[in-house]
Amino acid sequence: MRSVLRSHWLYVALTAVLALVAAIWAVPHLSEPGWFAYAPDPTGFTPPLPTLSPDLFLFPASAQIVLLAVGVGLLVQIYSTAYLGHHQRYRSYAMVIVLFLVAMIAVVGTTNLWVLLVGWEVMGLCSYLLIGHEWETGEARAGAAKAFLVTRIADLGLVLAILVIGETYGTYDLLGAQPLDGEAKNATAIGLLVLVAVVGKSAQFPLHSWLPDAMPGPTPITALIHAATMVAAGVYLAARMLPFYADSTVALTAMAVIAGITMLMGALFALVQTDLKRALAWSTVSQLALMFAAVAASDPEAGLDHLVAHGVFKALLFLGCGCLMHAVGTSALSAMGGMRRPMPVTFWTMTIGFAALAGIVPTAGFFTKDSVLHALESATEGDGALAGGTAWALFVVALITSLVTAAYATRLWLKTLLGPAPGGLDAHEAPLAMTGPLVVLAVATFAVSIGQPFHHGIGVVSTVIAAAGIGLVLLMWRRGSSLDWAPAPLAAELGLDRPFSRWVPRLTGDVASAVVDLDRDAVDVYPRGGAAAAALGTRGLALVQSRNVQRYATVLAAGVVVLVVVGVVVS
Amino acid sequence: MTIPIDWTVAGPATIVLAGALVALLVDAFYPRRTWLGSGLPATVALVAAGGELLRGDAGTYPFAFSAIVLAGTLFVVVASNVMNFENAMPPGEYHFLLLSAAAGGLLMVGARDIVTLVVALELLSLPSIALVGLRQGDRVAIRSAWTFFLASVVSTAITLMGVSLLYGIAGSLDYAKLRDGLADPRVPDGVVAVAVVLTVVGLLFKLGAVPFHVWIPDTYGGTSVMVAGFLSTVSKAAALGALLTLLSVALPSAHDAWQPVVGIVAAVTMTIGNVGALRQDDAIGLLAWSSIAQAGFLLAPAVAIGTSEGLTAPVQYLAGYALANLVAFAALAVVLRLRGSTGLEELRGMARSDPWMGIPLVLAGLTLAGFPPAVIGLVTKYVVIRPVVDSDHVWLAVVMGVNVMLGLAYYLRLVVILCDRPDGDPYVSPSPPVSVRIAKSAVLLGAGALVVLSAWPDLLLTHLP
Amino acid sequence: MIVAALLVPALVGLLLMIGRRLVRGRTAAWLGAGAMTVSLVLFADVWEGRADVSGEVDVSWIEPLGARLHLGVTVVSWPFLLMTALIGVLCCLWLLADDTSPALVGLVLVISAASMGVFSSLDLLLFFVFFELALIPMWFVIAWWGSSTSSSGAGAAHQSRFKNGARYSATRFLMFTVGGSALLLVGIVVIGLDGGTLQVLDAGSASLAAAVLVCLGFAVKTPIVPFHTWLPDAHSAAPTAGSVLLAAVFLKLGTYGLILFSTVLDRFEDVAPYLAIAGAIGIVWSALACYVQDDLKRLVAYSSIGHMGFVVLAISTQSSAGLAAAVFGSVAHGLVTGLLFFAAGSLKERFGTASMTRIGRGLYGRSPWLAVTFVLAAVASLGLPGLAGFWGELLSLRAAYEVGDVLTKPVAWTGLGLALVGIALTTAYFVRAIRLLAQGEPVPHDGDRDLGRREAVVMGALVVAIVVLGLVPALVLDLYEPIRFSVAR
Repeated sequence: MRSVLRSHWLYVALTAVLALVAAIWAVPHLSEPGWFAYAPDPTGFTPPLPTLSPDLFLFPASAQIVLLAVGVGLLVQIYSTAYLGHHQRYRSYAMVIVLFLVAMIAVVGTTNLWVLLVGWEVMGLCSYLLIGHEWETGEARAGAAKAFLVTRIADLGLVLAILVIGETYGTYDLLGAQPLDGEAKNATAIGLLVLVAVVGKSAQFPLHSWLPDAMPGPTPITALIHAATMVAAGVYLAARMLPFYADSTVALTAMAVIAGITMLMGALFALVQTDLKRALAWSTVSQLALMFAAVAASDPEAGLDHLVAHGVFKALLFLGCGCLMHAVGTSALSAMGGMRRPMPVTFWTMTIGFAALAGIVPTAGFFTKDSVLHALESATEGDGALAGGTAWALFVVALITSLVTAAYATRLWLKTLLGPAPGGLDAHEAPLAMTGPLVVLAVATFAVSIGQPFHHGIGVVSTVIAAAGIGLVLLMWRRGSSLDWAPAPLAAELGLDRPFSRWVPRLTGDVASAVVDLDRDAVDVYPRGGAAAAALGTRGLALVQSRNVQRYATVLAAGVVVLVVVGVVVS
Repeated sequence: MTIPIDWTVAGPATIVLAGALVALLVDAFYPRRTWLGSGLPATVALVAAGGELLRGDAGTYPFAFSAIVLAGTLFVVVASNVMNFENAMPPGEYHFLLLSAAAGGLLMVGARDIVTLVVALELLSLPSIALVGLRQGDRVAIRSAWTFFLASVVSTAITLMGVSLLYGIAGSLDYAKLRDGLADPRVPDGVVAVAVVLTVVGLLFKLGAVPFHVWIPDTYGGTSVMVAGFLSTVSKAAALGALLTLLSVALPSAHDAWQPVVGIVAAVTMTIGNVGALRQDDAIGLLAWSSIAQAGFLLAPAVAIGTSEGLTAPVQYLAGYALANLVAFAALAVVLRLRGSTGLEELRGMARSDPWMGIPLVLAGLTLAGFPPAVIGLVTKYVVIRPVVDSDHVWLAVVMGVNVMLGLAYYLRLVVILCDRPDGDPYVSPSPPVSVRIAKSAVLLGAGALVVLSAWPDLLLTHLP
Repeated sequence: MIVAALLVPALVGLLLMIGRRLVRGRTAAWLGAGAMTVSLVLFADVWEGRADVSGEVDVSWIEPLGARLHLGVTVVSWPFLLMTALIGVLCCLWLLADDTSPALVGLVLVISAASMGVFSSLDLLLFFVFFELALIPMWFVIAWWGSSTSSSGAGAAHQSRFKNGARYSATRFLMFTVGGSALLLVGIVVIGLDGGTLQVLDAGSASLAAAVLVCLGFAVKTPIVPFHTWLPDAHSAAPTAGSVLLAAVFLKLGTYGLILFSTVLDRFEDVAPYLAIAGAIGIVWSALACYVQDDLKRLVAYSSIGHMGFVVLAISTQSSAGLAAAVFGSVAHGLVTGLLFFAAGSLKERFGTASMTRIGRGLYGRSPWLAVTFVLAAVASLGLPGLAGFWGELLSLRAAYEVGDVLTKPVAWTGLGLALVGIALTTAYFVRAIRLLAQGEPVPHDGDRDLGRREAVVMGALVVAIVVLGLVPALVLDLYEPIRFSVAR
């Protein structure tokens, strides 16, 4: 029994069973037509007290996400047997992954907003525990704490959004609450609150800095949680809730602005990183913003398609990054290079991943990014809730981002896999348990393309842009550039993290110290003052009590005078 | 001037006085100085007076106070057996003075004109002063008696000033006539106020209200424990009864003059008493200050004298207070006899080392504090706050509440010391006189009564007026 | 049945105190656990449905005052009773050790019985008697079995005057509480005179004075800022079982009292805005104080003030969501903070201190199950959805968001905003505590020892309760679904 419990494969099997069940449940829904089209439920307007009811509902996009989550989850479990299997805390690690998957399925599959919230926050907790898996190191502790704090504060937006939905629609069930034809009430409030929640969870500007800082977590976890699933769940939530706020220009414009800022910022930061993992993290931030742009352009399907494709190729890239780290012992770009020969599987699969990231035909990344760009272009006509001008700006930013994305993908590809191997490096291919998942994901990167829509106008433009980006970097590489640009502001990530890493904690600490001092020296004055007054009174009375009869007589006489005066004055 | 004699009032007092004389005579003819010789006739007289009281019109208001005076004195007499064979204490004189004072108390409660009141006040005061200084060769006792005497004279003088003013205003000292006289609108309010305030000074002095409390800590600390017990209960009961009767029967028309005074005096009294008790290191000193604070609680409902509860609440509170206080003083008298000191340190661990005395003390402390499991203390606190609130003196009720908290500070100290682990073996007199057992049984009986009343507070609340 | 449920632990407690020389500590603890289990079963069994008063006992007591021995279980009090009995059982099990003093077990039993008496009283004077009955035993628990706190406590200078800090803390606790309950007594007098009855179900008072006095009284007990300064001292000085009882049961006397009396007081609405704001300020204030605490027990103690702030905010809305929030929040706080104090107590037993810097880092590595339990309790306490701590806070937020009948929107939403800030800060300080204690490079210590069987059973029971209530909040919330706030009227 003990040996079974100790076996790594127990957890893989557990995950596999979970994946199988989820697949049996989800696969039939893939072909069902329909998007958020349910009848409103005219039950009264006093929302019931919260319960966690196990009502489930899937539509094609959410079925895809469930399959993505359990698929990547299963691959990550297999991968981890080799990557972390020797670790003394492997068991708790593997169990938390299973818990995470359950929570993710709950978020995607439920129609009960409370179940959604529970899953949402349990995912955050799992993320916190897994980032801090190597809690001996200060970086992991700090990253975990930051991730948990930022996401949880943002989650308060979701809590409030649910309360507003309950009060507006009289139910906490998504099916009952869907406004089909009727007017969506409190749309702006719900939209903005949901936006707060997803900005935190998906690491969008201005709450973006926790995701790169979460990179001290184990790499398979980064692949699963911080690339493929949890951070992407923010996009899912924004899409799922879209009917509540689709009419709200304010909410959609805010989302568009945030998406625009984040996608370009993330891509630029990714361009200058010297660490592969951190670069990929910024890339994730940028890609998530692209998905939000699609949601803001009222085409959630495009966003969710890109979510799935991105989940596959980004998981591939992170797992590949894990193989490289396995080989060289660090994720610094300077320690890598010349991997084609020693690590062929990793090399080829990661090349496919970078191609998908850059958006090259026929990878899934090309098709889904194409859909997103098409959605943005359609929105420029201005017949949706988003104003035409805003959509135009967003479209242009997205195109620039495509250029930068292609550039940094090429740069990373060149610096990690090609180029001269650093001296003394004795890289060797990772074991099968690690390369196997890479191959599966590489195949999936193409497989997901099947059946994706293709818009040839946009397709041509984006291919040209991607080619320009790639060409530019290749040209510089040929000319002997090291590709290490680091303009100071970009290298410092524009100092955007300073409020979170310095100002807020310091301010809170100062205020807290002041509160403790006040608690002791100001609030506690009345009991202590009272006690002191009583003690003083006792001493004073002891002075009167001198056994001196004349003094007693004086007190008596004075007392009589006072009483007479009181009596006369009051009457 | 003829003074009408109401035998329902005078009867018990006469019996008590007769008992006092018999006790003195028995002691004179059998001068063996044993406590029983004179104690027995005293006991019989008190019981007989009780019977006479019951035979009379038991429903009247002074009945309750008279009953408390008699029962309290009886308890003091029984518990005083603890002083048996103390050579310095002459039993005959002791019982004579005690019963004389009790008779004075009975007359005070029953007085229906101010002359009787003043005479009865003196009948209570003079034997009390003698009692305080009775212990032969005890300089502290004599000094205490001297203090008590001087303070008493001053306050009586002030009272007589007030009385003469009242006579000047109303032309009579009979309560009923005073009432009508003071209602005359031609009388200036200011003069009435001065007269009334001065008159009640003597009673406030006996009650131990601030600022007429200064004699109490010295006197209680300087005299025999049971005399202090007598002063803190019987004497207070008589003063309270007389005061309430005076205010409700004779002076209701001067209500506006004395009500604020009484309210303020009550508030200040309970606060000063509690503050004074906080740092006492001797149990007697602690109880002395506590009895000042309790006087405030006794006085407070007088602001609501117009309501029916304004009169019954103090009686019920007094009964609970007197019982607990007597139990405490009697237990301390036993402790003093056996251990030679009533210092708080002396009491440490007594609830464990000597549970038969320690636990009654704990119970008495909790009753005085008004804290469960001594429910009777809490219920009487409730009773005494009720009329105060009812007459819209919420401020006074809040002051009372705050004082419940203040009081707990030192009662808790007493209780904790009693329950603590004993510091080694305390000195206990190797051969306690047999008569100590009589005092002990009085303590246990009193404690038993507290337990019964805590379980059925109804017994007290329905049977007193 | 209620009478038996109250008398069994009270009598066993008394006998244990009297016969403390005759039984061993272990036997005493078993007896205590048995007695509390009897109470738990009886209270669970007495339930007749939410519409009625279950197991009503109504006997004449003090006729002239209209006070009766009136006991009964209502829809509001039932969860409190079950929680108290459960905590009582666990506290007794916690004391299962040879060196336990039987008198301590006895005091725990008496305190639990008195608290259950408060929850089952339907007469205001009887309520007050039970309310006071538990105080002096608690003083003894803190003063005699407690240990001095770290010198960072309020009034550290004052402590030096006293023989030990525990005694000082106990006395502070008692004086504060009695001060509050004295005002409550005056308030009860006003209510009794106003409505002419002391029976909860019939009483009513239109007096503003009554509302102010009663709310002030409970404000000390609950506690509400600024009447809270007794709490950190008392909770951190008390022994583990005492801290648990204080946090899980004693604070609930305050919140239950507020719930109960708010149905009696017509002018509660005039006081409600102040309560709401004070409660909400308390959430933020205590969270900030927690953020820089080093003593774990003090941290947990301050966190209780915040949780009670949520409950008070909920009660002040007087809505049905508010009622559910108050009851659920109180019960959940009892379980979660009980667990936190048990965990802190375990640490204190091992290391002789609750100072986080002195306990040292890396508990995950040094005693993994204890660390995991602590982290779970912390996470439950910071209100993670899916654990018991969340639903009470959520419903408080909802009650504040929906404003309710007695508050105005500016007041309620100010409370809501402060509560949200408080939640964020709560997360911050618990994350800090986890970082300081559970994580980090382990520094081995002689005291390193994982959970023993006794600890595992006690904490395990609470963990199960927390998870079950977190996943099936309907267990409690269903009691309140269609009922309006004035249920007890």
